[in-house]
Amino acid sequence: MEMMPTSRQMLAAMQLALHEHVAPKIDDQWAQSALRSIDVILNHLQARVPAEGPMLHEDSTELLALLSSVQQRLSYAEPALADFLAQAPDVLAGYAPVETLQALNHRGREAVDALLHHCQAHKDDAAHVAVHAELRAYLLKHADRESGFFFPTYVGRPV
Amino acid sequence: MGKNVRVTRFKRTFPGISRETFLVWTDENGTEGSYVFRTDALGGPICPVPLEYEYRIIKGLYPTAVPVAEPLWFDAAPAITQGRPVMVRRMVDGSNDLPGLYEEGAEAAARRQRVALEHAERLATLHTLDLDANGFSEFVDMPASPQDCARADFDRWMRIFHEVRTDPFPLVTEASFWLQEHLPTSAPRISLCKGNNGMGEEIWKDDRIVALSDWELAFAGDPAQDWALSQGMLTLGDAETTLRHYEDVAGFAIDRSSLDFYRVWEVWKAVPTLNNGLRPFLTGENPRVPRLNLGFGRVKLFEQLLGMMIGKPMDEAAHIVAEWRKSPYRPENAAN
Repeated sequence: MEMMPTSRQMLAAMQLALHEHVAPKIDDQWAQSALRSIDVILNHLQARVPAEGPMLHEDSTELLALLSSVQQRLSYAEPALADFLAQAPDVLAGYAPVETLQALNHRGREAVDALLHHCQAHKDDAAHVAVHAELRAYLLKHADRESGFFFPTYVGRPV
Repeated sequence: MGKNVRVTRFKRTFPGISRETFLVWTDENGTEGSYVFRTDALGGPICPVPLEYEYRIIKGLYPTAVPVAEPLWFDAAPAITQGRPVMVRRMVDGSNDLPGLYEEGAEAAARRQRVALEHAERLATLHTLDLDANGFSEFVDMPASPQDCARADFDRWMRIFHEVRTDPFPLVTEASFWLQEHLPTSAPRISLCKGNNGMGEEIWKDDRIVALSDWELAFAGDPAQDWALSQGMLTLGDAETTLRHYEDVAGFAIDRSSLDFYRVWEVWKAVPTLNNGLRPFLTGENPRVPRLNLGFGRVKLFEQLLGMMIGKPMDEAAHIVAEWRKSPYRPENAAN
């Protein structure tokens, strides 16, 4: 038996305490709303905390390969892309904090966003069309990777 | 309001996350007055539209046949709210809730259809207003022509998206390219549209609408777009019966394929609309959980939904949205 409770177990314990001892005692609609919101965030964190680091590492590693290839094939130079390509190898080589991986992935997706506009502006060119298709495939894979953080967690009453 | 006015009680309405609304009762020389004060939440509203715009819309509507609460005044920066803008309306006798509407049985079903027809008639009144004669074209962004309605709304919200987003959201950008290819190129007319409308958004009394409320997302455009945001009105009764009644009253038809497009487009628009509410959370101006859940979690959910629809035929995508909106927690169901 493990000695150290996982983050997920601790979050679940907090949630159980709220369900068992707090929710039944609350009849104010603002307090009920706050409890619903907290419950959703606890569900989100139980899905996200254990998986986010490995997910971001895997996603940014794939993004590095994709964007390196795109830069060469399109002779495309743009600050967000250059920034990402310069930083990604070092960050991904070691054991980076999740916040660092988040920032790197954010920059990579900024580069993807700029590239999407570039491809859309050149949609009559076959090379750009091919890159656009690869970017779209990456985006759908990224959405799939983080799907469990948001779906079905955030389906339901919003407040 | 003059002298000898004393506030006797007040109540903050729920939920009021984007803007805060207070019901205020007064004693005015022995006569009771009642008012609705509305102000931006700390750090600004969720919806990226100034409160003064909503006030001007209501002020413009008050002399028309469209039922709205009487607008009294707008103050851009009063001391009582530490500089947040405030608008004040006279309180209308009614409720945004219709108790018993979702009961079982034929009688309740017939009532739901009547309620849907009532809402359709009020929308028809709104959508047939003359925007020039009533002064709206002086401050509401106007499409160049009915054919330009969807394009104008698309361009406006793309600008807002780039101004307010807190993440690159490349999948949302990709979805915009797909939607751009399917923009409707016709509309029956340029109408003043309400934006959010339907259950939870209007004031009812005896199953009649006594005031259309919440105008922050009002715009000039294709009336079909309002039906895409009608929050449960098309599922309250038979959708075709409701739409045909509206068409009879309005005197023009709603293009069903445009309606499909706008159902999907409204999911896209929800991303910048809600994401704007995360900005004061990130700066610490409003570190409250609803901002987090609406401005982040809900936005990411809509991004997921867009990812499920990109590239699909528009009617199929609209069907996905319709299925998603059947969630038991939609406002029309939460009213139970």
